[in-house]
Amino acid sequence: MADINIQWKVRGGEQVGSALRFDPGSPIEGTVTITPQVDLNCHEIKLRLEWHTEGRGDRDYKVAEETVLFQNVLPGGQPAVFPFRLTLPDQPWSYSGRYINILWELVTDIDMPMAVNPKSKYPILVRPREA
Amino acid sequence: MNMLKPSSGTRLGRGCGLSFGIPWTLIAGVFLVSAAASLIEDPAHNIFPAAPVILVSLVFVAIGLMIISASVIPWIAELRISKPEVAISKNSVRIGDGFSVSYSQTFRQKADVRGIKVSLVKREQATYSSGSSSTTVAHEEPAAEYEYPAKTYEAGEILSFSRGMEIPQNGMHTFRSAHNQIAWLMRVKMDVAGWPDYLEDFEVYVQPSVGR
Repeated sequence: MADINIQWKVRGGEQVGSALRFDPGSPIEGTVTITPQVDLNCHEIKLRLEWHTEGRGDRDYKVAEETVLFQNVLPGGQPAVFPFRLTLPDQPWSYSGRYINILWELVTDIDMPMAVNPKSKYPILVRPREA
Repeated sequence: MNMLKPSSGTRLGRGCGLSFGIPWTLIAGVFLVSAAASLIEDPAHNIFPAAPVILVSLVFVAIGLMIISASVIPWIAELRISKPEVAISKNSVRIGDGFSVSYSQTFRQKADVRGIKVSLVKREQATYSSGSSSTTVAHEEPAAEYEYPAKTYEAGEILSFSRGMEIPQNGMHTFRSAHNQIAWLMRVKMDVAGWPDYLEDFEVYVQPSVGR
């Protein structure tokens, strides 16, 4: 697999523990910086906003929003900066329970021909500020 | 006022119990009858093959009858009490919202009610697959519980109460996906002397927004 460095900068939100919290329905914006060591021929680089469940039940999963950041060859050794702005849906909220957890994350998925897609995930919390 | 309907899970469970219990009991009953018939026909020769079959079939029939009883008992309880009318004061309930629940139910026959418990419950339900079978587990957290005192109700008398409730500020909205569900239930459990307990759940749909 190609050696690729992916860095996130997410703006706004409120720091809660190790994650940023965002209000449901609010915008989320930032940049993804991708630095491949060598020239990277990728079909496309996708950014997804998605949630999935963890816990006792089988995994449920939904992509709330997906956008294509880039389609072509990324030159090696040069950082490519991709700004993004997405809107969080109203639900479901992030949740941690006994049998069910609902986790939100931003995912960068580099679709490469004949290779495992490198991915980077940035977990976020989606729920209103606690009173 | 927003009328609440009984949670489908309560009635679905009873229906599943019957649809499984009846065929189970019938099949075990066929084995029991045929083994008993062969034993009656020629006891001297058929005692060894028939007796173990009769014993095993009796166990299976007993299990089937228990499944059927567990499904039918709640319906028997409803013979004495009419279906309740339950309404909440808001069309849309949000996290942190207070709302009022009105409950009304008529007794068809005289009933000695030992106690009534009304609770607001958050229920997590998760379904997982293993091979070709799937299993559902549930976890319930009561957010509030209220008890009403014992009383003897005459035929035609109406049980009626109104109660304020609140979805906790740090609560979660109703969530439904293919294998995972979070629901809020108003549960009514009535202990009636000499009869099976009356138990019914009513789902309160909680919106994903915060009340003020």
